[in-house]
Parts: sequence; structure tokens; C-alpha cells
Amino acid sequence: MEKTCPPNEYTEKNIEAFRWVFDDIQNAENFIPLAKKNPARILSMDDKSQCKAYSLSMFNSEDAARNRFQFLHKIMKDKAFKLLGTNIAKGNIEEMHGVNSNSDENGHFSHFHYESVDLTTIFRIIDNLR
Amino acid sequence: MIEYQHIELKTLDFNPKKIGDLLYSEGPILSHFIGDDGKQYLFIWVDRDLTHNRWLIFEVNSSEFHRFFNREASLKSIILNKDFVYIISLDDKLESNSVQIVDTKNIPIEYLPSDESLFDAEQYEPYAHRLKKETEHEIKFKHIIKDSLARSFSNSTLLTPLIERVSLPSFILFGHIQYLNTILMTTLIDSALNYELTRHKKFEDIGFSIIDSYRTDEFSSSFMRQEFQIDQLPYDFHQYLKLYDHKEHTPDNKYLHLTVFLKNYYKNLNRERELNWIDDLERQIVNEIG
Repeated sequence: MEKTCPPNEYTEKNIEAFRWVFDDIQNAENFIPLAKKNPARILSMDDKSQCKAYSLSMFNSEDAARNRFQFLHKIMKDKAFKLLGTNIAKGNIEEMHGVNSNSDENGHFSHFHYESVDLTTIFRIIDNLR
Repeated sequence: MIEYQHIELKTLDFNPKKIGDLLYSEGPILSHFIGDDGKQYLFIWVDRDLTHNRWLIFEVNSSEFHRFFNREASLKSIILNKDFVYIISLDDKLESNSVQIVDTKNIPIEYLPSDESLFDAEQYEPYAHRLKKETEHEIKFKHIIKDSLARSFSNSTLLTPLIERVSLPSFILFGHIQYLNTILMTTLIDSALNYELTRHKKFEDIGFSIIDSYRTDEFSSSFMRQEFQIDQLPYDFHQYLKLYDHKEHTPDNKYLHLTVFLKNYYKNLNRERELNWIDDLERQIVNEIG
């Protein structure tokens, strides 16, 4: 893993976040990072130990979340609904919830939530991805 | 998970080593591998169940990568152009409970990307951009080499700009290019390209393509038979250096250019990984034409 994880430049902030989730928001699978998934989707042991494996993918807008999903749908077709999610959920991430990267040009950012935080109570489904 | 016609294997025919992710979303989706067979493979995530993730594996050569990165070929078209693919199921300890070889026509339609599975620079990971650049270099490089083979190396206007980028002092050896130095030249140009070609054993492929090009030339073939006695080459890299230190350096010494170069190359790199491919290269050349 990198020397500091999450990276030092990641910050606590109040931000509106969007994320793909499966039908039941209470499904714990919706908010488990790669490193803690079972089975973890890895192709090398490094995949599981690198820092980003402990983060969750978020988007800074509904459009950004939908655009990324639509792109991956070109690769995965309808399997994307089985493998990635079926809905878009929205949540207000606050400083006390964890630290975040800056958003990239596609509106994606990484969120490392603090252990006590239950994201299923913060996010709610706002639309489906189909 | 979906069932389909396949042949079950005990293991893959090659030992894959992951190089990078082209697509990633909370885990790899599309990843680039190099096999110990020297071939490149893509692993694409196609399914999962409670215990395993399933990956479709297909070989991709540099030309296909080039067409893909230039949006001339989709992932789907590259897959469908294969005779067969592998489908493997891996748990989170990377242990497989299924390794299959699947005739392309039997790939479940659900596992095939869509017709729109074209490269999209904005959506692909930084590694994809590096691979795109590397592939462009390789394609350009091969073109230059093949073009220059039809002429004298030293007169090639295409090579001149690249040669000028070579940081090693040994580029003056281009004036003495002999057969063995076709390998030297690839290495020199590679150094001009910041050694991007020597990564992932691609250098060997290029070396072979040059040798193959020579084989198609009647004059060159006869020249090779007379002059290129591979079995006289010292195998071990350090023997090259020893040779350099003790052999008389005359213009007729056909190893001189190579040994001078390798010595400089060694000094410049001074890293073990780069030394390995020299041994690998030589071993493969011995197998190929020795």
C-alpha cells in the first residue's frame, strides 16, 4: 500500500455525492470497498492491497454518475446492472463522514469513509439506471 | 453464472503477469497482461457469483492495440477476430475453480462487449494512455525499421531524428552497421524512446520482426548464413563485457559494436530488470536462428 492511505491531500468536505447502488439501499454490498468485498474482484494481490481498494467511487453529479455507467454499459451491456448497480443514489457527505479526493474531469472522486459511518443511512435512491 | 460450450483446462497455457488496468471501477474491469509466452492479453470482467469473478481472456497484438486506440477496432471486433478465448473464474485469493477454452463462436452474447466498445480517452485509466503511447511508438518504430531496411541504415532520413535523440555515445556506430547491429539499432532507438519498447518483452518481438524482414531478402539471408554465426556469440551478458575488455578492437571484429554498445547500455541502465531481457533476447534468437 502507499505510504499514507488515504493520501494526505484527501480532505474532509461537505459535498453532494452520487453513486451506483443495487435495488435495496440497505444492501451492505452497496458500500463495501474492493478490499473488503468477498469475493474481491482482483487480478493480482496488489489489487487488493493498494490504497484505492479501500475507497468508494462517487460522482459529483447525477449526470456524471450516469455518463460513466453508460460508458461501462458499452463494455458490459446489461451485465452492468448485475455487476455494477441498478440505481443512482444521492447522499450529502459531510466532513465527519470521511475524506475525499478532488473530482476528476469526469466528475468522479474517491471517498474513504470513517469506520463508524453507515453510508446506507446517508444515501437514498433517486433514480434507476435503466 | 451463464453456461456455454467449452473445454475445461487444468491451467492456462501461459503464466500471466498483470501490467496495468485500462478500465477500473472499484476494481479492475479491463486489464492488460503479459504472458510468459511473450504474448499480450486482455482480461475483461464478465460475470460473478457468490465466490468467484469470471474473466474473459483474449490475446491482443500490438497492431490490434493500435487499431483499438485509434478507434478503428472495438473490443468486440478484436475478440470476434480470435479463434478462441479463455474464460477463467477467480476467487479473492486468485485461485481458479474453472479454466476454460472457448471457441469464439460459443462465447455467450452476454459476455461480448457491444459494438460501441471503442476506446474513449476520457474514460480509460492513465495506464491505457501510456499503453497507447507505447503502442504508437512501437508501430512507428516498426515502420521506420522496415522502411529503412530497404535502404542503407546510415542514409535513412527517417532514422536521423531518432538517432539524434539517442543519449548514448555509441550512436556513432551506425556508420558500421552489420547484421548483428540490427539488434543494436533497435536498442539504440529504444533508448531514444526512453526504453518504452523494452518494457514487457516487446523488444524481442521487434528484434524478431527485423530478423524476419531480413529473411525475406535474398541477399540478406545469404549474408546472414555466412556472417551471422549465432553459436559463436557469448551467451552471458557479462561475457560480453569481458569480451569487450579483452578482444582486440579492430574494424573486423564483428562483436565490437555490440559489445561497446552493451557496455554503455549497461552503464546507463544499471538495473537488473533491463539486463534480463538481454539474456531473454539472446536465448530467443538462439532458438530462432541458431
